[in-house]
Amino acid sequence: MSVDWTPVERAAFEARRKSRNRALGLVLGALVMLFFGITIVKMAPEFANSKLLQGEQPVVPSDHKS
Amino acid sequence: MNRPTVPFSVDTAPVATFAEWRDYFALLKPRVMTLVIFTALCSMFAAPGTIHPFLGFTAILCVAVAAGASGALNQWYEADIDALMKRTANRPLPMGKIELHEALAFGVALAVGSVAIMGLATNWVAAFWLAVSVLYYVVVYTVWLKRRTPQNIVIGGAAGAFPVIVGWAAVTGDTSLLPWLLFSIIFLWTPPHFWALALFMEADYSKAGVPMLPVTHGSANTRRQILAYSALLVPVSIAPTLLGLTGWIYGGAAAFLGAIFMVLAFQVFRSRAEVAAEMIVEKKLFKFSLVYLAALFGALVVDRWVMV
Repeated sequence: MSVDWTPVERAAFEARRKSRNRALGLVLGALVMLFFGITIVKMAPEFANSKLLQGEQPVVPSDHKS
Repeated sequence: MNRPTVPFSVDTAPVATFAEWRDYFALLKPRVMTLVIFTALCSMFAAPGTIHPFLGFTAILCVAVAAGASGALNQWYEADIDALMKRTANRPLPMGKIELHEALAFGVALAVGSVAIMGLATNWVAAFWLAVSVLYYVVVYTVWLKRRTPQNIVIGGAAGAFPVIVGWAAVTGDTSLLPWLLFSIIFLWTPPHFWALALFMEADYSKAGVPMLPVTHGSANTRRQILAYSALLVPVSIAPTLLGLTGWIYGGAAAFLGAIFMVLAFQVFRSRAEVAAEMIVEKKLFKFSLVYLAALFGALVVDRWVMV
Protein backbone atom coordinates (compact mmCIF):
# COMPACT_ATOMS: atom_id res chain seq x y z
CA MET A 1 0.00 0.00 0.00
CA SER A 2 1.37 3.41 -0.87
CA VAL A 3 2.84 5.63 1.79
CA ASP A 4 2.24 8.56 -0.62
CA TRP A 5 -1.52 8.33 -0.39
CA THR A 6 -3.47 10.79 1.65
CA PRO A 7 -6.18 9.38 3.96
CA VAL A 8 -8.81 10.56 1.45
CA GLU A 9 -7.08 8.69 -1.40
CA ARG A 10 -6.70 5.58 0.70
CA ALA A 11 -10.40 5.69 1.63
CA ALA A 12 -11.31 6.09 -2.04
CA PHE A 13 -9.13 3.12 -3.00
CA GLU A 14 -10.64 0.95 -0.29
CA ALA A 15 -14.16 1.95 -1.35
CA ARG A 16 -13.40 0.89 -4.93
CA ARG A 17 -11.87 -2.38 -3.80
CA LYS A 18 -14.92 -3.04 -1.62
CA SER A 19 -17.31 -2.39 -4.51
CA ARG A 20 -15.33 -4.83 -6.70
CA ASN A 21 -15.37 -7.49 -4.02
CA ARG A 22 -19.11 -7.08 -3.53
CA ALA A 23 -19.71 -7.35 -7.27
CA LEU A 24 -17.55 -10.49 -7.44
CA GLY A 25 -19.45 -11.99 -4.53
CA LEU A 26 -22.75 -11.31 -6.26
CA VAL A 27 -21.50 -12.88 -9.51
CA LEU A 28 -20.31 -16.00 -7.68
CA GLY A 29 -23.61 -16.24 -5.82
CA ALA A 30 -25.50 -15.89 -9.09
CA LEU A 31 -23.36 -18.63 -10.64
CA VAL A 32 -24.22 -20.98 -7.77
CA MET A 33 -27.93 -20.22 -8.26
CA LEU A 34 -27.59 -20.77 -12.01
CA PHE A 35 -25.98 -24.20 -11.61
CA PHE A 36 -28.53 -25.13 -8.97
CA GLY A 37 -31.38 -24.13 -11.31
CA ILE A 38 -29.89 -26.00 -14.29
CA THR A 39 -29.43 -29.12 -12.16
CA ILE A 40 -33.00 -29.04 -10.86
CA VAL A 41 -34.44 -28.54 -14.36
CA LYS A 42 -32.25 -31.27 -15.88
CA MET A 43 -33.09 -33.73 -13.11
CA ALA A 44 -36.83 -33.34 -13.56
CA PRO A 45 -38.03 -36.47 -15.44
CA GLU A 46 -40.07 -34.55 -18.02
CA PHE A 47 -37.01 -32.53 -19.05
CA ALA A 48 -34.41 -35.24 -18.59
CA ASN A 49 -35.90 -36.92 -21.64
CA SER A 50 -35.00 -34.56 -24.47
CA LYS A 51 -37.30 -36.45 -26.86
CA LEU A 52 -40.09 -34.53 -25.18
CA LEU A 53 -39.05 -31.65 -27.43
CA GLN A 54 -40.16 -33.68 -30.43
CA GLY A 55 -43.55 -34.25 -28.87
CA GLU A 56 -42.98 -37.73 -27.46
CA GLN A 57 -44.19 -38.78 -24.06
CA PRO A 58 -41.68 -38.43 -21.23
CA VAL A 59 -40.19 -41.56 -19.77
CA VAL A 60 -41.52 -41.83 -16.24
CA PRO A 61 -39.49 -43.98 -13.81
CA SER A 62 -41.33 -47.20 -12.90
CA ASP A 63 -41.55 -46.32 -9.21
CA HIS A 64 -43.62 -43.28 -10.16
CA LYS A 65 -46.35 -45.43 -11.70
CA SER A 66 -49.28 -46.31 -9.54
CA MET B 1 1.61 -3.44 -32.53
CA ASN B 2 2.15 -0.67 -30.03
CA ARG B 3 0.26 -1.52 -26.90
CA PRO B 4 -0.13 1.05 -24.11
CA THR B 5 2.27 0.22 -21.35
CA VAL B 6 0.95 -0.07 -17.84
CA PRO B 7 1.59 3.43 -16.52
CA PHE B 8 1.56 2.71 -12.83
CA SER B 9 2.14 0.23 -10.06
CA VAL B 10 -0.26 -0.41 -7.20
CA ASP B 11 1.98 1.51 -4.81
CA THR B 12 2.11 4.73 -6.76
CA ALA B 13 -1.04 4.81 -8.86
CA PRO B 14 -3.47 7.67 -8.50
CA VAL B 15 -6.56 6.38 -6.75
CA ALA B 16 -8.78 7.35 -9.68
CA THR B 17 -7.08 4.74 -11.90
CA PHE B 18 -8.15 1.69 -9.87
CA ALA B 19 -10.92 -0.22 -11.56
CA GLU B 20 -14.40 -0.41 -10.16
CA TRP B 21 -16.86 -3.13 -11.12
CA ARG B 22 -18.30 -0.65 -13.62
CA ASP B 23 -15.02 -0.65 -15.52
CA TYR B 24 -15.15 -4.43 -15.95
CA PHE B 25 -18.77 -4.08 -17.05
CA ALA B 26 -17.69 -1.46 -19.61
CA LEU B 27 -15.19 -3.99 -21.01
CA LEU B 28 -18.17 -6.11 -22.05
CA LYS B 29 -19.44 -3.41 -24.46
CA PRO B 30 -22.96 -3.59 -22.99
CA ARG B 31 -24.51 -1.58 -25.83
CA VAL B 32 -23.40 -4.16 -28.39
CA MET B 33 -24.71 -6.91 -26.09
CA THR B 34 -28.21 -5.43 -26.33
CA LEU B 35 -28.46 -6.13 -30.07
CA VAL B 36 -27.03 -9.61 -29.69
CA ILE B 37 -29.43 -10.50 -26.88
CA PHE B 38 -32.38 -9.16 -28.84
CA THR B 39 -31.64 -11.07 -32.05
CA ALA B 40 -30.84 -14.31 -30.18
CA LEU B 41 -34.04 -13.98 -28.14
CA CYS B 42 -36.14 -13.39 -31.26
CA SER B 43 -34.52 -16.41 -32.89
CA MET B 44 -35.37 -18.56 -29.86
CA PHE B 45 -38.99 -17.40 -29.95
CA ALA B 46 -39.19 -18.02 -33.69
CA ALA B 47 -37.64 -21.50 -33.52
CA PRO B 48 -39.99 -24.48 -33.58
CA GLY B 49 -40.03 -26.44 -30.34
CA THR B 50 -39.92 -25.57 -26.71
CA ILE B 51 -37.27 -24.93 -24.13
CA HIS B 52 -37.66 -24.73 -20.38
CA PRO B 53 -37.83 -21.01 -19.44
CA PHE B 54 -34.90 -21.34 -17.05
CA LEU B 55 -32.75 -23.02 -19.71
CA GLY B 56 -33.87 -20.37 -22.20
CA PHE B 57 -32.80 -17.68 -19.76
CA THR B 58 -29.48 -19.47 -19.29
CA ALA B 59 -28.97 -19.66 -23.06
CA ILE B 60 -29.57 -15.92 -23.47
CA LEU B 61 -27.26 -15.23 -20.53
CA CYS B 62 -24.54 -17.31 -22.20
CA VAL B 63 -25.01 -15.48 -25.51
CA ALA B 64 -24.75 -12.13 -23.71
CA VAL B 65 -21.69 -13.14 -21.71
CA ALA B 66 -19.97 -14.60 -24.79
CA ALA B 67 -20.64 -11.34 -26.65
CA GLY B 68 -19.23 -9.46 -23.65
CA ALA B 69 -16.17 -11.71 -23.66
CA SER B 70 -15.66 -10.95 -27.36
CA GLY B 71 -15.91 -7.25 -26.54
CA ALA B 72 -13.37 -7.55 -23.73
CA LEU B 73 -10.92 -9.46 -25.95
CA ASN B 74 -11.49 -6.92 -28.72
CA GLN B 75 -10.65 -4.09 -26.33
CA TRP B 76 -7.61 -6.00 -25.07
CA TYR B 77 -6.26 -6.26 -28.61
CA GLU B 78 -7.24 -2.76 -29.68
CA ALA B 79 -6.19 -0.77 -26.61
CA ASP B 80 -3.59 1.06 -28.71
CA ILE B 81 -6.02 2.35 -31.34
CA ASP B 82 -8.76 2.94 -28.77
CA ALA B 83 -6.41 5.42 -27.11
CA LEU B 84 -6.25 7.41 -30.37
CA MET B 85 -9.97 7.76 -31.05
CA LYS B 86 -12.15 10.29 -29.24
CA ARG B 87 -15.09 7.82 -29.16
CA THR B 88 -13.04 5.11 -27.41
CA ALA B 89 -10.29 6.97 -25.53
CA ASN B 90 -12.23 6.85 -22.25
CA ARG B 91 -12.53 3.05 -22.22
CA PRO B 92 -11.00 1.33 -19.15
CA LEU B 93 -7.86 0.05 -20.91
CA PRO B 94 -6.72 3.29 -22.59
CA MET B 95 -7.50 5.07 -19.31
CA GLY B 96 -5.18 2.65 -17.48
CA LYS B 97 -7.91 1.50 -15.08
CA ILE B 98 -7.53 -2.15 -16.04
CA GLU B 99 -4.27 -3.81 -17.06
CA LEU B 100 -4.01 -5.65 -20.38
CA HIS B 101 -3.38 -9.08 -18.85
CA GLU B 102 -6.42 -8.61 -16.58
CA ALA B 103 -8.63 -7.84 -19.58
CA LEU B 104 -7.26 -10.88 -21.44
CA ALA B 105 -7.88 -13.22 -18.50
CA PHE B 106 -11.34 -11.72 -17.94
CA GLY B 107 -12.31 -12.19 -21.60
CA VAL B 108 -10.96 -15.75 -21.89
CA ALA B 109 -12.61 -16.84 -18.62
CA LEU B 110 -15.99 -15.45 -19.68
CA ALA B 111 -15.75 -16.97 -23.18
CA VAL B 112 -14.83 -20.46 -21.94
CA GLY B 113 -17.37 -20.30 -19.11
CA SER B 114 -20.26 -19.17 -21.31
CA VAL B 115 -19.59 -21.89 -23.93
CA ALA B 116 -19.32 -24.59 -21.26
CA ILE B 117 -22.52 -23.53 -19.51
CA MET B 118 -24.36 -23.28 -22.84
CA GLY B 119 -23.34 -26.86 -23.64
CA LEU B 120 -24.35 -28.16 -20.22
CA ALA B 121 -27.63 -26.26 -20.03
CA THR B 122 -28.94 -26.62 -23.61
CA ASN B 123 -26.94 -28.64 -26.14
CA TRP B 124 -23.46 -28.79 -27.67
CA VAL B 125 -24.61 -27.63 -31.12
CA ALA B 126 -25.53 -24.26 -29.60
CA ALA B 127 -22.28 -24.27 -27.60
CA PHE B 128 -20.31 -25.00 -30.79
CA TRP B 129 -21.83 -22.04 -32.66
CA LEU B 130 -21.31 -19.83 -29.60
CA ALA B 131 -17.61 -20.76 -29.56
CA VAL B 132 -17.42 -20.12 -33.31
CA SER B 133 -18.97 -16.66 -32.82
CA VAL B 134 -16.36 -15.67 -30.20
CA LEU B 135 -13.42 -17.06 -32.17
CA TYR B 136 -14.68 -15.46 -35.38
CA TYR B 137 -15.05 -12.03 -33.77
CA VAL B 138 -11.73 -12.12 -31.92
CA VAL B 139 -9.45 -14.04 -34.30
CA VAL B 140 -10.88 -13.50 -37.78
CA TYR B 141 -12.27 -9.98 -37.36
CA THR B 142 -10.26 -8.23 -34.62
CA VAL B 143 -6.81 -9.78 -34.99
CA TRP B 144 -6.70 -10.79 -38.64
CA LEU B 145 -8.82 -8.54 -40.81
CA LYS B 146 -9.89 -5.32 -39.08
CA ARG B 147 -6.60 -3.53 -39.66
CA ARG B 148 -5.85 -5.16 -43.01
CA THR B 149 -8.86 -4.63 -45.22
CA PRO B 150 -11.49 -1.94 -45.75
CA GLN B 151 -13.99 -4.81 -46.10
CA ASN B 152 -13.48 -5.46 -42.35
CA ILE B 153 -17.06 -4.52 -41.56
CA VAL B 154 -18.47 -6.97 -44.11
CA ILE B 155 -16.49 -9.82 -42.58
CA GLY B 156 -17.13 -8.62 -39.03
CA GLY B 157 -20.85 -8.57 -39.75
CA ALA B 158 -20.93 -12.35 -39.53
CA ALA B 159 -19.75 -12.18 -35.92
CA GLY B 160 -22.84 -10.18 -34.96
CA ALA B 161 -25.03 -12.57 -36.93
CA PHE B 162 -24.06 -15.81 -35.16
CA PRO B 163 -26.32 -15.28 -32.09
CA VAL B 164 -29.41 -16.05 -34.19
CA ILE B 165 -27.89 -19.42 -35.05
CA VAL B 166 -27.03 -20.00 -31.39
CA GLY B 167 -30.51 -19.04 -30.19
CA TRP B 168 -32.17 -21.30 -32.74
CA ALA B 169 -29.85 -24.23 -31.98
CA ALA B 170 -30.45 -23.82 -28.23
CA VAL B 171 -34.13 -24.62 -28.82
CA THR B 172 -33.99 -27.14 -31.67
CA GLY B 173 -30.56 -28.74 -31.29
CA ASP B 174 -29.74 -28.06 -34.95
CA THR B 175 -29.89 -25.34 -37.60
CA SER B 176 -32.07 -25.01 -40.69
CA LEU B 177 -32.68 -22.60 -43.58
CA LEU B 178 -34.60 -19.92 -41.64
CA PRO B 179 -31.88 -19.19 -39.05
CA TRP B 180 -29.30 -19.00 -41.83
CA LEU B 181 -31.53 -16.51 -43.67
CA LEU B 182 -31.74 -14.48 -40.44
CA PHE B 183 -27.96 -14.75 -40.25
CA SER B 184 -27.74 -13.39 -43.82
CA ILE B 185 -30.04 -10.49 -42.96
CA ILE B 186 -27.80 -9.33 -40.10
CA PHE B 187 -24.72 -10.01 -42.21
CA LEU B 188 -26.00 -7.78 -45.05
CA TRP B 189 -27.42 -5.18 -42.65
CA THR B 190 -24.06 -4.59 -40.96
CA PRO B 191 -22.18 -2.84 -43.82
CA PRO B 192 -24.79 -0.11 -44.48
CA HIS B 193 -25.24 0.36 -40.72
CA PHE B 194 -21.54 0.77 -39.93
CA TRP B 195 -20.52 2.54 -43.11
CA ALA B 196 -23.22 5.17 -42.49
CA LEU B 197 -21.57 5.67 -39.08
CA ALA B 198 -18.08 5.59 -40.60
CA LEU B 199 -19.02 8.35 -43.05
CA PHE B 200 -19.63 10.88 -40.29
CA MET B 201 -16.92 9.43 -37.99
CA GLU B 202 -14.33 9.22 -40.78
CA ALA B 203 -11.93 11.66 -39.07
CA ASP B 204 -11.74 9.45 -35.97
CA TYR B 205 -10.99 6.26 -37.93
CA SER B 206 -8.46 8.09 -40.08
CA LYS B 207 -6.64 9.34 -36.98
CA ALA B 208 -6.46 5.80 -35.56
CA GLY B 209 -5.29 4.34 -38.89
CA VAL B 210 -8.22 1.90 -39.11
CA PRO B 211 -8.81 1.15 -42.81
CA MET B 212 -12.54 1.86 -42.82
CA LEU B 213 -13.98 2.20 -46.30
CA PRO B 214 -14.48 6.02 -46.20
CA VAL B 215 -10.82 6.37 -45.15
CA THR B 216 -9.35 4.10 -47.83
CA HIS B 217 -11.75 4.49 -50.76
CA GLY B 218 -13.43 7.82 -50.10
CA SER B 219 -17.02 8.71 -49.36
CA ALA B 220 -18.34 8.29 -52.95
CA ASN B 221 -17.25 4.64 -53.05
CA THR B 222 -18.69 4.07 -49.55
CA ARG B 223 -22.04 5.55 -50.61
CA ARG B 224 -22.16 3.22 -53.63
CA GLN B 225 -21.44 0.20 -51.46
CA ILE B 226 -24.06 1.22 -48.89
CA LEU B 227 -26.62 1.27 -51.71
CA ALA B 228 -25.38 -2.07 -53.10
CA TYR B 229 -25.58 -3.87 -49.74
CA SER B 230 -28.99 -2.33 -49.03
CA ALA B 231 -30.20 -3.60 -52.41
CA LEU B 232 -29.05 -7.09 -51.39
CA LEU B 233 -30.46 -6.82 -47.87
CA VAL B 234 -34.06 -6.03 -48.84
CA PRO B 235 -34.73 -9.11 -51.04
CA VAL B 236 -32.97 -11.40 -48.56
CA SER B 237 -35.11 -9.98 -45.74
CA ILE B 238 -38.26 -10.82 -47.73
CA ALA B 239 -36.99 -14.27 -48.77
CA PRO B 240 -38.30 -16.13 -45.66
CA THR B 241 -41.85 -15.20 -46.67
CA LEU B 242 -41.31 -15.97 -50.35
CA LEU B 243 -39.95 -19.41 -49.39
CA GLY B 244 -42.96 -20.06 -47.15
CA LEU B 245 -40.97 -20.08 -43.92
CA THR B 246 -42.81 -17.09 -42.43
CA GLY B 247 -46.21 -15.50 -42.92
CA TRP B 248 -47.23 -12.19 -44.38
CA ILE B 249 -47.00 -10.27 -41.10
CA TYR B 250 -43.26 -10.68 -41.32
CA GLY B 251 -43.26 -10.36 -45.11
CA GLY B 252 -45.27 -7.11 -45.02
CA ALA B 253 -43.04 -5.65 -42.32
CA ALA B 254 -39.91 -6.66 -44.25
CA ALA B 255 -41.22 -5.05 -47.46
CA PHE B 256 -42.31 -1.84 -45.70
CA LEU B 257 -39.15 -1.43 -43.64
CA GLY B 258 -37.03 -2.42 -46.62
CA ALA B 259 -38.63 0.29 -48.75
CA ILE B 260 -37.73 2.95 -46.17
CA PHE B 261 -34.22 1.50 -45.88
CA MET B 262 -33.77 1.69 -49.67
CA VAL B 263 -35.04 5.29 -49.82
CA LEU B 264 -32.55 6.35 -47.13
CA ALA B 265 -29.72 4.36 -48.74
CA PHE B 266 -30.49 6.07 -52.05
CA GLN B 267 -30.45 9.47 -50.34
CA VAL B 268 -27.06 8.63 -48.85
CA PHE B 269 -25.88 7.56 -52.31
CA ARG B 270 -27.04 10.90 -53.78
CA SER B 271 -25.62 13.00 -50.93
CA ARG B 272 -22.37 14.84 -51.52
CA ALA B 273 -21.82 16.01 -47.93
CA GLU B 274 -18.18 15.79 -46.89
CA VAL B 275 -18.36 17.35 -43.42
CA ALA B 276 -19.84 15.40 -40.51
CA ALA B 277 -22.10 18.28 -39.48
CA GLU B 278 -23.77 18.26 -42.93
CA MET B 279 -24.33 14.49 -43.06
CA ILE B 280 -28.00 14.53 -42.09
CA VAL B 281 -29.18 11.60 -44.23
CA GLU B 282 -26.17 9.50 -43.23
CA LYS B 283 -27.08 9.97 -39.55
CA LYS B 284 -30.72 9.26 -40.41
CA LEU B 285 -29.80 5.97 -42.12
CA PHE B 286 -27.61 4.96 -39.19
CA LYS B 287 -30.42 5.56 -36.70
CA PHE B 288 -33.08 3.97 -38.90
CA SER B 289 -30.93 0.88 -39.43
CA LEU B 290 -31.24 0.18 -35.69
CA VAL B 291 -35.02 0.60 -35.79
CA TYR B 292 -35.12 -1.54 -38.95
CA LEU B 293 -33.45 -4.55 -37.36
CA ALA B 294 -35.44 -4.30 -34.14
CA ALA B 295 -38.76 -3.98 -36.00
CA LEU B 296 -37.92 -6.76 -38.47
CA PHE B 297 -37.08 -9.27 -35.75
CA GLY B 298 -40.05 -8.11 -33.68
CA ALA B 299 -42.30 -8.79 -36.68
CA LEU B 300 -40.72 -12.22 -37.06
CA VAL B 301 -41.65 -13.18 -33.50
CA VAL B 302 -45.22 -11.89 -33.89
CA ASP B 303 -45.54 -13.71 -37.21
CA ARG B 304 -44.31 -17.05 -35.87
CA TRP B 305 -46.64 -16.80 -32.87
CA VAL B 306 -49.59 -16.07 -35.13
CA MET B 307 -48.62 -19.00 -37.39
CA VAL B 308 -48.43 -21.36 -34.41
